[in-house]
Amino acid sequence: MAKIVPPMNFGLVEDGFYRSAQPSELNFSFLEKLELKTIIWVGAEEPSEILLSFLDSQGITLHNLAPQVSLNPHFPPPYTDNGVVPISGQYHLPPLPPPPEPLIIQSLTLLLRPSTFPTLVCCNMGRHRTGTVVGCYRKLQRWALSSILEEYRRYAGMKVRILNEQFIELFDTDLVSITAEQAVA
Amino acid sequence: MPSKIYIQSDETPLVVVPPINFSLVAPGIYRSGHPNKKNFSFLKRLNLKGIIYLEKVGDPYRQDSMDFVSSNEIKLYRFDLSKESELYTVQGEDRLEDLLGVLLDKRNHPLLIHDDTGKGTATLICSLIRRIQGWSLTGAFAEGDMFAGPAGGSEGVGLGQAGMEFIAAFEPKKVKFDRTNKPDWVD
Repeated sequence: MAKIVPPMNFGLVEDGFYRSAQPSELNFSFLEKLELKTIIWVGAEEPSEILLSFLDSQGITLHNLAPQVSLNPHFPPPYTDNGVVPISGQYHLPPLPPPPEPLIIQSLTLLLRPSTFPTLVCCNMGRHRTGTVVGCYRKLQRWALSSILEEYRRYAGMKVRILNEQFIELFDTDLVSITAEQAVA
Repeated sequence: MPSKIYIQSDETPLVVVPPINFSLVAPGIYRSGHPNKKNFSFLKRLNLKGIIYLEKVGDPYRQDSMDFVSSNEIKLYRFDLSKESELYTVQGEDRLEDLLGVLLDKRNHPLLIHDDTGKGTATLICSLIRRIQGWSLTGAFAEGDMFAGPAGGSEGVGLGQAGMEFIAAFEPKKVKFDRTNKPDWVD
């Protein structure tokens, strides 16, 4: 039997709701099994061409939330100055800001609609932005903060970003709403 | 589609607390560490049919969990797989086969699999599920590390060498179970 390879940091959030890093070619046969209807891309960069063509061939709808400047003032990512990436250690970089609030609200709005599922939420590494979306989703489900952060840290590993955790803690769930029609459609 | 989101409903408590190391493994299968009474309102929502407890059968199940199980008509299964070395014995093999028989019958779902910490034995069983689903070994181990900690074992809670070898050598095709009620995620 051919082995299927999950994308990095893959996980199940709920039945029909998955999370991961940006899938590569290796992961496509794995993704096929999920029978995804949509992908919610929350990364700061654009998804890769090869992923886009895969989604196209599978008829999976891409909700690309990255390039919309209105949603994402950090695009392009703040630390690339004219495409020159600073060598680490050369500068003291300030901590990365948490993902912009409108991006989270838009993702959660999609995640409240039954028509979105089965879906995969992903960003480049599937740790921070994806983790923040899932964390805020858990808040909608009224999970205790300690449990939300346990899950966030499970995926963030050694690279926990306190500002993201703070964002989750302070996030106001009343900002997310959908209409009754969207809730059943 | 996620079953339920609880927004602005007065029937649910203000916060719910999943057990430590809680996660969905596959549709109908959850994993965690040992639940305590703070977790019961959360667990109630899962409408569990069964709980598989993986620690020593000689130890009594915690009383508050026992009360929760009996008042919610949940079936408690106990399989002692806490010693990885025993997996290689005939008794261990039989125990595992019995466990997989319960696990791979969707009439028993939703099921919660838990040990005490949600790290070692729970990870072992969930990695075997991944093998049955055809996951690559690295994928299964990477997931296990998220729960058990990388290279486990150092605190005596993660997956040990014997457990990892067992997962690697595990042959899903040789698992004998009744396929009539197999879950959708098994080919």
